[in-house]
Amino acid sequence: MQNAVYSVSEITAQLKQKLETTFPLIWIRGEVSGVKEMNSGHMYFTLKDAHAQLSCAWFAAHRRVNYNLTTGEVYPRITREIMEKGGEFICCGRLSFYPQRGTCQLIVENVVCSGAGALAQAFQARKEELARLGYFDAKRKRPIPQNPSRIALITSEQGAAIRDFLKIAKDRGLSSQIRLFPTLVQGKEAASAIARAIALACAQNWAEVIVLIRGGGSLEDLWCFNEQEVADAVYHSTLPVLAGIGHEIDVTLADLTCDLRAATPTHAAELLWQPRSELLSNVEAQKARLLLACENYLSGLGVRLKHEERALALASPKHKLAVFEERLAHCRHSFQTRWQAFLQAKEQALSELSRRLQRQMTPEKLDGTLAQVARLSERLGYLLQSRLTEQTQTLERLEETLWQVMLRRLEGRQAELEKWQAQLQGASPLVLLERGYALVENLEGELLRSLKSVKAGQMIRLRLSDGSLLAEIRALEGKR
Amino acid sequence: MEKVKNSEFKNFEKQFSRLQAIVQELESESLALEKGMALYREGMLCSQNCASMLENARHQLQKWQNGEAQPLNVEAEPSQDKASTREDIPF
Repeated sequence: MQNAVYSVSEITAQLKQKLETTFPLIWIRGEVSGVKEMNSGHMYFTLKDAHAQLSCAWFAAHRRVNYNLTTGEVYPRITREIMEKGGEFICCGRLSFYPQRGTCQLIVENVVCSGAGALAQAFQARKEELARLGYFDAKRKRPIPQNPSRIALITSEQGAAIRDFLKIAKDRGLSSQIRLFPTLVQGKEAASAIARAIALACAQNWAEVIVLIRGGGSLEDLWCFNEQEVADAVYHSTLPVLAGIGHEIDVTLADLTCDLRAATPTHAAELLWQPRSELLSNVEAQKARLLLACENYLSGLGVRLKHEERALALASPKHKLAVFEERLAHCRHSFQTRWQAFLQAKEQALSELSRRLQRQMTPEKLDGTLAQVARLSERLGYLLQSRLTEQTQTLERLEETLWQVMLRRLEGRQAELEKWQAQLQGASPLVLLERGYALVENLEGELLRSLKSVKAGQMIRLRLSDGSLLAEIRALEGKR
Repeated sequence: MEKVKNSEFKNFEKQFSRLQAIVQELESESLALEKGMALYREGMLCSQNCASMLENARHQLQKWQNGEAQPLNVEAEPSQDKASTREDIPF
């Protein structure tokens, strides 16, 4: 792809457009040289540092405006003489490209002294030292009371600061007491005067807050607020300190050490008190709410009253009586209706039963039934009689048979008994004794069956059929 | 140390808080008529007191010099008439 080829006009136009949109408003710090002032009031100079330089144009229209267009802050007027002395300046403006000459230029709107000299170096050194000592620690910052009623104001009795402060205070807060501790705010004696005023306010312990203010000025003018003495006094203050020194861009060591930094004295007053109009509109809003609430409350009460009236009417004895009467009438009606229905149903059932009875019970049917009952009764009597006779006969037969059998068996037994009696009698030893036998026994009653069991001279008993006798053995005679 | 009267802003805040509380009570609760009316009257009184405090608010200026508090006059606008010598400047 071939690179695009620009004409000089094209590229310078683009450069101009790029430059002006990329840097709409910038602050540049540098040393000023080559200052030229025209009769028209325009001023041209060069801003440079060790390695580069930039052409600047400061037109008369811009030079006449020595305040910030947005904040209204007034800057010290910078004249040609001041610039010609040299040193560092801060220029505020827009970068622009000038195609006719092919150069870049800063269209300056405002110039302030940078003041970077011995003072600035001293400031920087002390700032670093105090930072190291913890003077600026966020942790030790105390809250500033809102809408305080007792303020210790430390500033000059004359000067713009106190006027600006009081002008803003006029429409803010409620009745507060502002006690001024007049002090120098510029010069060699200022630092110790300010430190003494702070110490005095702390010793009195009357105020809720110390307000330390001073109007705008050069670095030299504000220098007393950078002194160690003032920073120490602020650091050791037993009351919270609000400081508003110089303009927005001025930052002193007192500003850094205090509990709250206001950009300006005006701003300090704004930070202390709420606008009275705001407080008043809050009150008005609450009042409007109160009126509305009261209106709603009353209308609510009206509604409640109507409701209560209705409730009362409903709860009255008259109403209750009417209700009971209505209920009674309803009950009566209901009872009558049901009673009628009940009676009707019973009547219907009765008539139905009556009809059925009439259908079932004719005289002919009744006679037939009676005859049948008589017949059955007769049959029953007859059957019972014949059955009884039959059973009696059977019983008699059985009785006879039993008698016969028993008799036969009895006779058999009798004969058997007699036979056995005869046998028994024959076998008895007593029978043997009657025949002449005797039983021989020793005196102990033992039967003697052998000679071995006796000896001569022994007494023995002989049993006979009608008694016994004692005998003595004279001799033993065995079998031969 | 000097004896100091009660802060006016604290009084204002107290009255304003009471006003807010009354409004809330009237808005949220069903009250008896007498209580409601009493609250309304109290609320109106609070509102009047607040408004009156704001209307009459004046910062008092003094300067500490020679070991005592002395009256201080500072002109709000340096160009204004110098006839104003009141102790309580309507700030």
